[in-house]
Amino acid sequence: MDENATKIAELEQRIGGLIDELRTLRKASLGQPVPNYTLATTSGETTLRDLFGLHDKLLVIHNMGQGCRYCTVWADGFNGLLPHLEDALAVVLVSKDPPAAQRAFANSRGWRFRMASHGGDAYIREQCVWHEPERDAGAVLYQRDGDAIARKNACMFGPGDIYCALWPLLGMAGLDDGAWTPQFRYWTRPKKLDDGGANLRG
Amino acid sequence: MDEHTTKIAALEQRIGGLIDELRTLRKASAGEPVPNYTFATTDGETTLRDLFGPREKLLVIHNMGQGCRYCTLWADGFNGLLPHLEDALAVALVSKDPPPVQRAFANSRGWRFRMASHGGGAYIQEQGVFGEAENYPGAVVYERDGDAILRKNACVFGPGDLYCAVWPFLGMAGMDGADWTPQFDYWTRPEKLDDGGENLRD
Repeated sequence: MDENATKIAELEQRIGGLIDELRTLRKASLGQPVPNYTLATTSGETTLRDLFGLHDKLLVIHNMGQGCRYCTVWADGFNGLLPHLEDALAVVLVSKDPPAAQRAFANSRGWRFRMASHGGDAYIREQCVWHEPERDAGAVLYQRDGDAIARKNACMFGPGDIYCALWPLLGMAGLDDGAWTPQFRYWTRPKKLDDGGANLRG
Repeated sequence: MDEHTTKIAALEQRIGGLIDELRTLRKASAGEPVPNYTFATTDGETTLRDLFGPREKLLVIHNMGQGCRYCTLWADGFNGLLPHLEDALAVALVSKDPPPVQRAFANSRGWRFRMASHGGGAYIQEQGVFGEAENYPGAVVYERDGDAILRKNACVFGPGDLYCAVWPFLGMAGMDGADWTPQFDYWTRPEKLDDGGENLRD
């Protein structure tokens, strides 16, 4: 192994050790009581407590909404992992978008998430994981104890975190978010359509 | 913020800093020349060089094959990220399974990966990601320079790595690999079938 490869192996080991430490610390988090917020869905109002369903742990993914290509990448990755996550805990993706927009966007991406809208209101103002509720990207883990809900742990999303494999894989190719920006899609339609192009929407 | 939360935030920041360092080191990796290995696909033989297509960078995911629930979990996450990854580089998933088995398994999971089989042969014996260990899960990024192929960076997959968000999410819920084991499927069919149950395969 050359010097650079040895350095990389050591650094990977250090990072792995610290991620273990993080897991231990998070396990010891006591949790802060939070209110039973109301959220909107395509089937009407729901509450944070309802979103637990039969589980006593609930992962709430804070997505900025259809206006953020980065949040979309993270959610695309979580969507593939969803059946596994939902075996262990309840999962819901929230954003400020109205339920109908959430639904159209989820359909366009093939997302299977249960979704709910906070509409930029109390939930996200009080439970945001960054400093700006309008631009909140991350996740919160809640625990239920009878009727009480406690916020146990939270995390923030951003390139170089431990929640989106895309960035470390690009990093192996020497690429970073200075070199590459995610898009909603990588296909662009032909300028001239073979069907004549009537009633084209976008 | 209480003391415990401050500790967690400080640790998250340290991990983020080290992940940045890792990216810088990987970018500086010189790369080792490797042979142009042969693989089997459902369309016949292919080579490592062919897998680049028109790209200069190729991410090869080392999957143990249909016998590993853990490798399946990682690949489920990558599958959701695939359109993004494939905008930046070529991607292929390889395993020892014969091509028709790879295909049936990919169909059962909804995977979109280009796949190729090394059959346990020269490729995986010489390009493993974990010392001499046989068929270890991980990934390698190769770069092409004319007809030459260089192995630029590699990584190993395992709970607590940077490549599967399930584990840090479970960690936020105070769970780890001792509390939860991934499965292929979380649905089990009813014992008694309403269609009579003839010709049932499992």
